[in-house]
Amino acid sequence: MSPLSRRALAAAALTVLLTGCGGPADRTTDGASAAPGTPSAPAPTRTAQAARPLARSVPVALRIPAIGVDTPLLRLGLRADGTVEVPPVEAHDRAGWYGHSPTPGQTGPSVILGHVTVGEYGDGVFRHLDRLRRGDRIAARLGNGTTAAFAVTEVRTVDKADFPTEDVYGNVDRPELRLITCGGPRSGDGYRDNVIVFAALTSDSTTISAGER
Amino acid sequence: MRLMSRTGLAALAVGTALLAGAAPAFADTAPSAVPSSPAVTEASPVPSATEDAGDAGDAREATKAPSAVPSQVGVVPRGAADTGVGEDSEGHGTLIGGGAAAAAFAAAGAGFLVVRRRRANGA
Repeated sequence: MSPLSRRALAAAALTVLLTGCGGPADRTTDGASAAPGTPSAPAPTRTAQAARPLARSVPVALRIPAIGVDTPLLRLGLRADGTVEVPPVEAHDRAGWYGHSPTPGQTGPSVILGHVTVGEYGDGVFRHLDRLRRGDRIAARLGNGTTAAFAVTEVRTVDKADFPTEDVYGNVDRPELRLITCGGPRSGDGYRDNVIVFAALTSDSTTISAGER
Repeated sequence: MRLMSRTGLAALAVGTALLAGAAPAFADTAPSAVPSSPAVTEASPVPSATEDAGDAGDAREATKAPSAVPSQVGVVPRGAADTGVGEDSEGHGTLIGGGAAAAAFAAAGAGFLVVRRRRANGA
């Protein structure tokens, strides 16, 4: 009879072993199922080029030597219909910073808008924005006395009907700038397209000189 | 008697072993049922969102949703920016209308003068 009890003991030990293996296997499944939910990079995979973000300070002026722009900046908000506010027609010589976007030099897309033309007033401050080329310099003077210097990375003309909201207002992993105006064919009451200039902060912020392009 | 107690012990051991064996069988089904169903429910929404993302708009939503990072732009405006005032209808309209009226008036005046001279010459 002792062989029987030995078998019984062996069987009991085996079951305990099997039970012990079952638990951890399930936990691994949990871990594996949790993993796919967590990835997703928060921002586009553009790598920053060592330009350190600047402290928040509201921009007061904008200079784009390549197209002769030197303008004070207004602060813009939203219209009642949810579209972005633009500078008043009378202030055709000024551009405006969208106040819900980061200030120039902060990490994120800082957005500045200006008119291309203003009806009877003639050319707007961003009349020649579409002439900018990759590498052209843009300087935003901030309220704290520093200057955020940017270099153009891309100039895009897009149909207003297909405005790339995510590309313009979406999160980025470095300080960037967006300059927006109108472009393309002009009809009686406006333009078909938007011209959008994308720029990135350069490491020589606060040191851009008056005559520099 | 001894034999009986040994047999009893052996039967008890076997019974325990069987019960213990049955328990893991339940344990196997029970935990696997519980985690596997959440695993299915957790996994299915994410891939289905990406699979359903047929057009570009949905794809953007799909890439934006899982990142759960606060937006750097506090309030994202709707649509495009209206940064170009077209030809001012009032200003240019007035100019164009004024110019046409002036031209018509000048032509009428010239015609009147020609007719008057012809009449004067004829008389």
